[in-house]
Amino acid sequence: MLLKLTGGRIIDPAHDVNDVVRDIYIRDGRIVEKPTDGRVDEEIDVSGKVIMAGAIDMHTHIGGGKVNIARTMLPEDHAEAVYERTELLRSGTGHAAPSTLTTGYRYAEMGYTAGFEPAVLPINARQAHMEMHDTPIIDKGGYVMLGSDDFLLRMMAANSDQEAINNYVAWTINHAQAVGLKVVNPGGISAFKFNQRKLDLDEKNDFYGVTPRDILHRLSRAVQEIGVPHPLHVHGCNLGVPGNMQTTLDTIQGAEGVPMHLTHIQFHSYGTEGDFKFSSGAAEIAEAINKHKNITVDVGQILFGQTVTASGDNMRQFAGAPHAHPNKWVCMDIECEAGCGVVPFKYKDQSYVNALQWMIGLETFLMVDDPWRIFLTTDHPNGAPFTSYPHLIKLLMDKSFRNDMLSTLHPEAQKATHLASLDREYSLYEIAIMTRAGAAKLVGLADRGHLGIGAAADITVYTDNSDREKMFEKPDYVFKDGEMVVRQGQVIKITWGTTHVVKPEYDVSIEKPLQQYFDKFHTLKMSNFKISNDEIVDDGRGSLTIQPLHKGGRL
Amino acid sequence: MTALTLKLKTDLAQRVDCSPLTPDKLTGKDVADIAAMELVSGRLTLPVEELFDISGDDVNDIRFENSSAKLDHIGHAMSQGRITINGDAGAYLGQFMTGGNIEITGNTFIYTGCEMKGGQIKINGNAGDFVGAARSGYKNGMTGGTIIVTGNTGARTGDHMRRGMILIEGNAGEYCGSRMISGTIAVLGDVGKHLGYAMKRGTILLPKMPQHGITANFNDCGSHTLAFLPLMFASFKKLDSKFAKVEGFSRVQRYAGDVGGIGMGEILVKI
Amino acid sequence: MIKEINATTRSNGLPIGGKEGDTTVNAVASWQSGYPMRTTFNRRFPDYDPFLNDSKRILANDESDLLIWVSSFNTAVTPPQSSANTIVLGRSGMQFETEPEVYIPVGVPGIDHEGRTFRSDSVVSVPLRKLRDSGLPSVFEVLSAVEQAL
Repeated sequence: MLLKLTGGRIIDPAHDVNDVVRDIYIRDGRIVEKPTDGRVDEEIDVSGKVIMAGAIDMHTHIGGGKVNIARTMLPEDHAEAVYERTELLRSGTGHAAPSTLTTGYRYAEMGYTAGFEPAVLPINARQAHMEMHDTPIIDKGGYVMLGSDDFLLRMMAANSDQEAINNYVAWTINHAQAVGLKVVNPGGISAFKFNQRKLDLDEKNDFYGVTPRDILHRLSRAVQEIGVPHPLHVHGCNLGVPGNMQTTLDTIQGAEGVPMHLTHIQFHSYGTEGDFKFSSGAAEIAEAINKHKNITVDVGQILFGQTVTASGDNMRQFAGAPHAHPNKWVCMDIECEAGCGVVPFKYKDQSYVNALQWMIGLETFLMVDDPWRIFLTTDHPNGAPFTSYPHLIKLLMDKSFRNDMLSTLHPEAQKATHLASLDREYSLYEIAIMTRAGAAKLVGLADRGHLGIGAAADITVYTDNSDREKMFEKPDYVFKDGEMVVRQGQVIKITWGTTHVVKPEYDVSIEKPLQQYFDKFHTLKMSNFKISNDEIVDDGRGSLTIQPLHKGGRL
Repeated sequence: MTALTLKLKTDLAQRVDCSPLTPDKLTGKDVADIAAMELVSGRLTLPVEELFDISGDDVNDIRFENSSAKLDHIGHAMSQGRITINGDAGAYLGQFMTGGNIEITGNTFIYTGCEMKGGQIKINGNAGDFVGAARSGYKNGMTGGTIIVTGNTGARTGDHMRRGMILIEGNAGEYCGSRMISGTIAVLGDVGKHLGYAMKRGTILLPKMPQHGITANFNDCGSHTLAFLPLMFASFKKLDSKFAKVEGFSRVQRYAGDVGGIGMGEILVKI
Repeated sequence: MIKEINATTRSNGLPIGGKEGDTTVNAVASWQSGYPMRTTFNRRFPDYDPFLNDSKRILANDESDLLIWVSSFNTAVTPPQSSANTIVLGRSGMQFETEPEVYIPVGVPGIDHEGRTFRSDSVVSVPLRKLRDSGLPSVFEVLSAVEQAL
C-alpha cells in the first residue's frame, strides 16, 4: 500500500525545508522515496495545505498516580466536560484532567502524535505506563524521577564515585522503561520529609547533608556519560517563589556547560520588584538561556481559567495548597522515593500575580532567540490544559491579538511588563521547530518530528489560516504511522502508539547493593520493581521503541 | 389555564430522569410537544406520553400525580413556578433550583435540595439522606432557599451546606450538619449520633438536648441570650410549618465545634 | 487534622482499604472514565453517583434484569441474592447457594495467569505472575471470546 500526499507545502525544519511544495510517499508506516515505477495505490490531494510532522508534547502530565488523584479528586472537572461514546470512540470526561482515552483523542485531533509524561516515579512507573497504554493514537514515554530518593542521597552522602551513580541511573531508566531522567526540586522533596520548608540551590538537606547543586551536578553528568540523548530534565528549586529567578540563574551557571533542560521555566522566573514584590525575571533568564547553549527550556505557559496543578514537588505544592480552588488538595510523601502534590487552581486575569505569570511566559517565548532550545508547553495541566495549545500558538504568532489580550488584564500587571513592545511574531517554521523537530531532537527520537526518508509517517496537514488558533485546533488530516487517524478535526481511526524508551548499559553489580536495599527498606521486591518489556507490550496493543543513545554512551 | 398534570401510568421498573419537566424548560411548549419529549429511563429514553397521562396546560404549575420514588431530578434547576407532587419522589428533588416552590405529599429519596440556591421545598413526609447537601466529591451544598420537612430526614442532613435553611419538624438522622460551612438547620424532634461532625461554621438549633448528648468535639460555651433568635422565629411565622407556631426563645446553651477543624460552628440548645 | 499538624511539623496518614482487586478496578476506572466505580454509562457518557449506582441498591429495587458477577480472586465472594439473571465469571471451585444461570470458572491472576494489581494504599502496583498451568482462562480471555462471538 503506497500512499501519496500530493502538492503540500512542506515545513520540515529538521531538513531545513521551509515551505517547499513537495510530494510525500508513505509505505508501511514510513516515509519513503518516490517509487521508481511511479505506482501509487492512493493519492490525497493536499495542494496548498501546510504539512508538518506530527507535533510532540515533550512535557505533559498524562499518566501516573498524581494524574489519577486529580481525576478522582475533581468530579467538577468531569461533569463540565463529558464526551459521549460513538461507534468508534469510547466515552470519557475531563477538561484539566481528562480520562486517558479522551486525552489520546484530543491530542490527535490537534495534530499531536506524541506526548511525554515528565514525572514518572520509579516505584509508580508501572501505573504511569498502564495509563499511557490506555491512551490511544499518540506515542508516549516517560522521564523517570530521581533526586529525592533515599538510595541516591545515601550514595551521595557516602561520596560514591560517579561511576556508581551512573550505574544506578542507567539501571533505573532501564527498569522503569523511561526515555529520560527528571529531577524535581532536587533533594527538596526529601528535605520536606525532614520538615524543611524550602531548599535553596546551596542549602543542605538536614539529614543527608547534600545540596541541590550537588544533585544536579551528579545527575546531569550521569545522563551525559551514559549517553541518554535527553538532557537531565530539571524542575528546579523554589518553584513559584518570588525572587526565584536568582536560583534559576545560578542553576544555569552551575550546569557548567553540561546539557540541562529546565522545565516550566515560567514558574522559575520571578523577581521581587514593585509594590506587589512580584516581578518578571524573564529578560534576565532569557539572556542567560541565549548565552548558555547547553541549556534548553520549556515554558509552562499559564492561561486563564480553571485547571489543576499536579507535581512531584510536594514541598512547594503544600505551600501552595491554601490557594486551592476548589478548596481541596492532596499532598503525599511517597516512601523512600519522592512525593506528590495535587492542588486545583484557577488562574484569574484580574489577579496581578496570575496576569504577570501569563506575561512572563510570553516574554520568555519572545526573548529566547533560538527556537531549537525552547519548547511550547503549558506543563499540562499545571499552567493550562493541553487543549489550549492552538490559542497559545496564536498568542505567539499574532502580535495584535496578543496585545489585545494584554490590554484586558490586571492594569498594574500591564505596567510591570514591556511585553507590548516586543514585536516578535513566531513563524510557522519556528512553531514547527518548537513542536516538532526541536522536540524530537530534545527527547532523542531519531525517527519522529521530521519528514525525511525513513521517518515514521506521523504527519499533520493544516489549511493555512491567518487565524492561527483556528488553523492549529483543527487539522485537515492527521496520519499516525502512515494511517489516517483524523479527518477534518475528527478521529476516524483508533491506533495505539508506541512507547519510546532508551536502554543505557549498566554494570549488573549495582543490583547487589540494590537487592540489599530493597530487602531492607522498600515495600516492594526488586523483582517486582522492574517493568519487563512484555508488560509494555501487554496484550499486543502496546509496543516498545528503543531509541539510540548518543555517541559516547555505551550500548 | 389549569395546572399541567402528569399522571404516572404504571409502576416503574427503571428510574426516570424528570429534569426536563420544569416550568423553565417547558415554557413555550404545548401538550403535544411535551408528550413527545424524551426522558432517560434506565438505558433507554422514553417519550413523556408513554410514562404519563398528560392534562392541563399551565407549565408554571406542574403536578405529578401517582408519583413514585423512582422519579429522579424533579424540579432540576428550576428558577420559578410551582411543582406539586402527589406521592413520593426519587433522588435529587429540586437539585440546583434557584427559585419557585416544590411541595410533595409523600417521601423523597436521597439528595433532596442538593446544591439548591433559592426557592422553597416542602416535604409533607420524610426525606432521605443528604438533604441540602453537596454532590459526592463536591464542596458546596445548598447556598440558599428553604427546605421544610414535616417528617424525618436521613443521615448527613446539610452536608457541606453553605447558606439557607433546613427546618425539620420530626427527627434528623445521624451526622446532621456534617461538614457544614454556614447556614441554619433547626430540628424540632430528635437528632441522631455525631451531630455537627466536622462542622466548620453555621448554626444547628434544637429545642431540647439531643438524646445522644453533644460530642466531645464541641465545647460548652455556656448559656447565652441571643437577640437574633426572636427575629428568626418571627421570620418563621409566614411559613406553612409547625415552625410558624413554635414559641420563640432566646436563652440557649451554646456549643462550639467541631474543634477537630476550625471549630466555628455552633449548636444552640434551648434552656 | 493531618493538614493542621503539617502547618508546623510533619504528619502523615496512610489510607488502606480494598481487597479482591477493587483498588485496582477503582484506579483503572478512574483513568479510563474519569470516575471510580459506581459510574453508569446509560447516557452514553460516564456519570458517577455512588448511591444511585450502588449495585446492592439496584438489585434490591429490581432495577436490573442481568447481573454479571466477576470474582476471580476469592471463591467465597459470590453474587448477592437477587431476582436478576446472573452470569458468574468466578474463581474455579465457587459454591453457590442459588445456582446462577451461567457460571464460567476462571483462573486467578497471579496463580493461573499474569496480571497486575494495585496495593491497598493504591500508590504502588505490582506484577502478578503465572505460577501454574491450570488451563483455566482469564476474565480477559473469556470476555474477549464473548466479544469475538458477538
